[in-house]
Amino acid sequence: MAQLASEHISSDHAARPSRLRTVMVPVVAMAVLLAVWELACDTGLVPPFLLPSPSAVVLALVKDVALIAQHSLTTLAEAAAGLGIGVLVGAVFALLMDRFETFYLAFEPLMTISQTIPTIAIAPLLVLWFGYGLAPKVILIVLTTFFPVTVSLVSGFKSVDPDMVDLMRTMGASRWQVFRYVKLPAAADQLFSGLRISATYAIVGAVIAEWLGGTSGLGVYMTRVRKSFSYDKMFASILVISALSLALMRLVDLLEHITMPWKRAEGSKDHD
Amino acid sequence: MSTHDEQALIAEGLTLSWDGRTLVTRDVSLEVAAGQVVCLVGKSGCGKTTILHALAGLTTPLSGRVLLRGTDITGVPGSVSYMLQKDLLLPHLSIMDNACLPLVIAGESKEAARAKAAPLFERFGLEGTERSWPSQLSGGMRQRAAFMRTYLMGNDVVLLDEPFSALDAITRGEMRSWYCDMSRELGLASVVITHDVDEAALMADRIYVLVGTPSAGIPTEVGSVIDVARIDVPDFSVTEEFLAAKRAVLAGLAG
Repeated sequence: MAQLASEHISSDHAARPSRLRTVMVPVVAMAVLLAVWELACDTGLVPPFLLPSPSAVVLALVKDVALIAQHSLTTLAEAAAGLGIGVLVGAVFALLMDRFETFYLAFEPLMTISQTIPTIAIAPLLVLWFGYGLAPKVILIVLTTFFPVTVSLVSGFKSVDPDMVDLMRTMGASRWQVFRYVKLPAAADQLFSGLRISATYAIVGAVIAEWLGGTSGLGVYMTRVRKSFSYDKMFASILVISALSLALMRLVDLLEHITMPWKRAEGSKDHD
Repeated sequence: MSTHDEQALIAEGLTLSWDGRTLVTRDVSLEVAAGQVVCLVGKSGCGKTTILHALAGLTTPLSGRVLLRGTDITGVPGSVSYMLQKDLLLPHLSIMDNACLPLVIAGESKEAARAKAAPLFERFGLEGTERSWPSQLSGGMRQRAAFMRTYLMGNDVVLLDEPFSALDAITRGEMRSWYCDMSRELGLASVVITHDVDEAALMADRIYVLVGTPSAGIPTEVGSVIDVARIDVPDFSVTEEFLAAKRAVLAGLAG
């Protein structure tokens, strides 16, 4: 026991500086990059019409914050609607592909091919077909977000140990019980990595759709400020897009943290 | 040798195949009585696991049948308990809920199942782990939790496929004697697959030596049956009976 305890302490000691490193190194790298950028702009090395300085971007963001917030809300609403429907469609596809092999064989290649079509190429078509309203934007987001969900769920369902299924059968489990107790929890693990990708696609998809037409949204804001050569505002909107994507990813992490408490235990075995 | 009534599980003339054409086993018969441990010993790939699958009802034999106290259960899973080398605990359920799984699947409420499982934790050496996740337990404890789940399946015939081979040598020894004591106490009839001759000689009341190489077109059959005189030696130390059984198994395997 004493030996075990000391091992725990020593492993903790070894882990602590590395945790600090994982935070400090990227922060320092980011700070250095921003400092070089700022310096290059302030000294006139790079003219402001080519690249606004970080401070100018922040200033533009502060000045235009109300307008940007309003546009962000539109983009967020589109992204949320698209992501929500995308996850639903993705889950239905995954369930059908898992349940019916013919369905899997028929749709697996089609789905992969659909993902090789560039979003930017299909967006104008969607605007042509569905107009300038909400529909083409949501459809584009659905198209880009359902795929990671389907792929992660299907591989999650397939990751189940066939011996586990046999064991469940010896307990007299029905197909639904096998799904509920074995397949679904196994897939949940992988679902979240797919969801994280889908979340970033959702914001980017919304912005791309807005570029091509619309009356509100960060993409619309970007096209407008670009036309007036306000590149500081353009960078400000990029900053907001990044922040929104990151926030959405964090939300997925939080969801995972809440719904999968056993994952937390796996990460911190030293508790018992 | 014995009447059907005394035997908990009887397999008669099992002929098994993976694909319907290549024979894995031919005419394998075996029986196990309540309170008895029967070991199946054979080389890797001889079809031990396939036989256990057939006994569990997971595979339907080409011919032959499986009788549970006289009732034909051939090809019907759900009436004998089955446990593998892997503990197969579900990572998202607590040890308590993992143990309760067979009861919940059988339709009992979570509360009723937990009430039934709670008093067992001490006997299985798992007190205090009720609310732990499987990932927080050691290999030996996880395996004990898997035994508890197997026990809660409520069947008195238990099929074990290499149940101790994933454990370290000391834990393996402990678990082996713990299992033998517990299964006799509870009157379980156990069929244990092992490739470890020592393990078979230590645990078994009877050893079936399986010979054959299905991959080379020689279906597996029961080569010899060795009855081991069990003398209660608490620490499973080397006895004359152990050595005699071991010699017999090795001779049987050599053909």
